[in-house]
Amino acid sequence: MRISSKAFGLSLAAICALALALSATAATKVAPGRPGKVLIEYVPPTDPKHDALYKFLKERQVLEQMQMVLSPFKLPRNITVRLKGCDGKRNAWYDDEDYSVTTCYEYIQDVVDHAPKDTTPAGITRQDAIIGPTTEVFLHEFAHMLFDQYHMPLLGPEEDSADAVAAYSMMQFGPKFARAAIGGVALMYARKAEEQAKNFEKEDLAEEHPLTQARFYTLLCFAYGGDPKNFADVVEKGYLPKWRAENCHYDYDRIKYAVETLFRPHMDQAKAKQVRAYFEKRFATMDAKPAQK
Amino acid sequence: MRNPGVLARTLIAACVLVPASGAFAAEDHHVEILYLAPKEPEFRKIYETLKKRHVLESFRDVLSPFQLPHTLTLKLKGCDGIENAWYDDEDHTVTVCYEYLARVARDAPRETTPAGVTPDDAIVGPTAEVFLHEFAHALFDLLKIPVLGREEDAADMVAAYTLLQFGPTFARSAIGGIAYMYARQAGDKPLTAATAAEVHPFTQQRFYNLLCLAYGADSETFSDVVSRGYLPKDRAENCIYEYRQVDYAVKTLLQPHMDLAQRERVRARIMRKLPGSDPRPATN
Repeated sequence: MRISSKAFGLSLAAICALALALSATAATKVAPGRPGKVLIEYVPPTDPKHDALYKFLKERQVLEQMQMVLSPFKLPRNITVRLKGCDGKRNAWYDDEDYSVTTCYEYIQDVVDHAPKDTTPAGITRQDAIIGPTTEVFLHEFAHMLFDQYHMPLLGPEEDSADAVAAYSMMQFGPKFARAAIGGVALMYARKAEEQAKNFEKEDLAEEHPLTQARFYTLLCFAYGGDPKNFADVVEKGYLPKWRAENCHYDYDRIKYAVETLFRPHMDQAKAKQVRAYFEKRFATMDAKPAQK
Repeated sequence: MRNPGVLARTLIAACVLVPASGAFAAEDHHVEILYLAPKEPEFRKIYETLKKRHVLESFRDVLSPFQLPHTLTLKLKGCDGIENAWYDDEDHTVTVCYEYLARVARDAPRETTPAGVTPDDAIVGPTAEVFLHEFAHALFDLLKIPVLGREEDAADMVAAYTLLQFGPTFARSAIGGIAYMYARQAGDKPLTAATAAEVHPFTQQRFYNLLCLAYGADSETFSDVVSRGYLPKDRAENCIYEYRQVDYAVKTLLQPHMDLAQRERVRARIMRKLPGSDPRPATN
């Protein structure tokens, strides 16, 4: 890892903030009679470049937090959530044969490496830029896992649906976390959209994932639709066109309805409330600055 | 219309989905239909023909298996030059503009394309698709169907899935015709940040999504879609899963709201009416 210790320190602080959200007391409660467990694995990286990241993620119990996020779900079988080195590939996936979600150290390292040193003009801090995409990649793959585990009926493409579930989830832990995480993910999409535009190939359109630029707008529209006050600047500053913004509350309501209809029967509501309250409380004191005007 | 042959083709297209006269579902009371006379004389003929051929009656028949909580209105009207179609969730109305159908007819090729799309296909496919796409929006709303991804994609999927349920000959005609329209429109609209902000996916993506669903449903009938390179092999490999996903979702989410016996009656009526008894071969 060729980043200065100072920069790494900052990134550690960011991941740390996320990690802090877990306390041993709240995390270990499991609903009685739950058949499936969430197992976690920190696979030691083969590339020494990821040693520091590996140790840090482990020390800060990032996977334990992801376990907690999934704890309200009544799973039909055991699921493994894994961090591992992927021989240089920046990737993350759900494997429906061994029921595991894997996120590569490369993916998180890339997120850390591209996080801005200073707060961007849009008000996105370095911490947001790390916490957002790190959380999102797990939530997106969890969505794929849950679709499979519950055999959920999806009318549209699965990738869009996974994006929607991730976006919905990021809005569940209070306004402060919503801004931090969604801002961070939007920044990543903006960067990747720029890369995609530079090296655009017609084949990109044949891919199952929506175009990154479209993901950027879809995410901001969802956030604005769900909380127009918290995300007012997204429209004021022109990141989301006004004509699109007008209908965003319909998108939000539709997705909220779909998530609640499809997921609620599989969740322990009391546990979900407890997890939400816990994270919300932790993030409320998190050192994430609201957008600078 | 510049080309009188185009109108003739529109008429043929309009008839395709029309069941035998007198066979309309008398049992359905939940779908109202309205042919609004166009102000523009250029749409007069298309209006009269669609009306005479009972096009809206046939689409009402397609909807008849659904148990709807409100009356749904299907409306054909002139839209002051705007080529559009939409579902309005306040008055529960699907509107298709004459302008939209006129454009479909105008854009149809004069002769069969190298991909094997006939002028009729290019009219039948998009005409059926625009109604089915808006029906999907209406059903999502009226039946409170949970849609997680982009609603426009879901409406595209439901429309394409429906068109794949009437046998391989019709499937090829309709899917080919829609793919032709998307390919044509994709050429008109370059990719920009502004088009990315639109709620509809890029037309080029709609083209791939459509072909993928068709190939996933029936890789024999649509084998040339891959062999001729319209759909990249990488994407094609997983199309069977994409189709199964949609098939499962339709059966899980929409089927519980349907009278299945009525659906079979409607399907039989439509299939009797569809032209050509032999599947159009995928010629090389």
